[in-house]
Amino acid sequence: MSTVPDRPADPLLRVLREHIEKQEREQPTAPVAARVLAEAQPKSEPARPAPRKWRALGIGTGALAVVAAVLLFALLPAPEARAEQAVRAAEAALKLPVERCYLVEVQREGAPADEPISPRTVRVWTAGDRFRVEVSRGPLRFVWGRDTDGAVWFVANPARGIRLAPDEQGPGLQLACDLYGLHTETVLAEMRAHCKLKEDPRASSAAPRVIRAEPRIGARLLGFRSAVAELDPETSAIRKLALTRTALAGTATTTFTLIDTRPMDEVRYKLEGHLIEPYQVFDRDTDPGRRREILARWLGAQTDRWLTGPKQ
Amino acid sequence: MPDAIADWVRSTLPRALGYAKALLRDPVSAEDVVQDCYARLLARAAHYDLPRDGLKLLLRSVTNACIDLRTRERALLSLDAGADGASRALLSLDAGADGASLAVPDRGATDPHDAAVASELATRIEAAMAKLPLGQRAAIHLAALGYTLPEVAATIGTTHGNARVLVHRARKALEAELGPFLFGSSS
Repeated sequence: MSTVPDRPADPLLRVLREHIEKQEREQPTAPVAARVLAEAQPKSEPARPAPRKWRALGIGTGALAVVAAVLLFALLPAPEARAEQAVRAAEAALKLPVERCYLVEVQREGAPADEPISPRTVRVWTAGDRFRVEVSRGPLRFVWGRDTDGAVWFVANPARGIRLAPDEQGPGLQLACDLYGLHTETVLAEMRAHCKLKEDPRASSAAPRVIRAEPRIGARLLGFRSAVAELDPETSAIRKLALTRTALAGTATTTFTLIDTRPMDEVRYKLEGHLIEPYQVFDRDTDPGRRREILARWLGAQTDRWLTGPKQ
Repeated sequence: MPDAIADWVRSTLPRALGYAKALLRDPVSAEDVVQDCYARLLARAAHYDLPRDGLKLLLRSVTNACIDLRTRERALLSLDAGADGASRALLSLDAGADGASLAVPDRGATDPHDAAVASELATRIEAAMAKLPLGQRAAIHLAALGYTLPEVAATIGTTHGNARVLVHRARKALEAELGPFLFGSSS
């Protein structure tokens, strides 16, 4: 039996292998190793506890990767007048009482070209500070968003929803919200404040305005390498926004492409707009322990980073 | 204990433990089984070249121990289940499903929905694996890890032909369950 078997060519087996190997990496083995080694050692030799530091380091590295991935935008100062004006106009356009739907695509440098898994589809609907993210993969549906009060909600099943008040949201979750909500103050204002802005020459006045943002030397950096915003020449709405960020190995570019604009449907930005009677809502006042339990199942180890306050 | 043996234990433990958990669907029993298997193997460490052959011996031992455990449990639960018959049934082509789904949270995803989707996918994989008979589960687990059919057959103690059928049936069942999540539509 070979010690390092080859990667199976069968796509399904590859997915299964990735799943199995992930479980192997993440399962706690130190206690079992300590017991096995203690049992096998002569009684006079004290058992050595299995090293946990590498596992801790792995988790720490993963957490850093999450931070790097989520703390995207720190785009640095120095606006060039016209480009800055265009970005300001885009900010204003985002605040209009319409909702816009963006298709979100992530391209990772170095990702295998023959990736067997069909990518999940992510659509972001934004309306001012409100947003919702609709994720689908095959028959799986997951929706989360932020309502007008700043509460973040999650729905994976129309019979059950979770709500987090603004003061319960950890920094990681807030930054994820800023990204997916295309939060004007965070994305566009950061572009103006911390980036050198340049506008591409246009062939005609009907062509979209393309603004490129590169971090200024010495400016605050939170992981962004660059941003390219394509603005509608008439409405100044963002047609496309590509954010290139530093990933753990290489770079990742998240692209938001406008696919729909329509009058706002307020109810779809609320948790209850995605639930079907009879349903349960878990929030700070209703079984917070169960809420954390459900979030832990959905979000895994990141739950504690996305929730503030004591563990119930 | 020589450091090389301790290193071997640490390096093989994730695989052995993951395999036992996949077969038993019960982390506590899996840890007990794996610990027993290591104890038996290490007691005879002088007779083996563990770095070379140890993993093969260990996985075979884990397979047998898991089957024995399930056999004993079934014998306790069913007045009609004979130990020998049940043991064979676990590796037979017609064995029924056993075990329950086990949610496995994703710990590496970066965004809330990525984490949720990955977690749901992991849950689906676990649920689909749990529906497989133990023999199929063992065979597909090893095949997914890249082991050849002869290696799978040797590890689970069956013939080459039977191992091929076990892998084939397990794969077909998993494709029916997971196809829509992995490839967009059932194939």
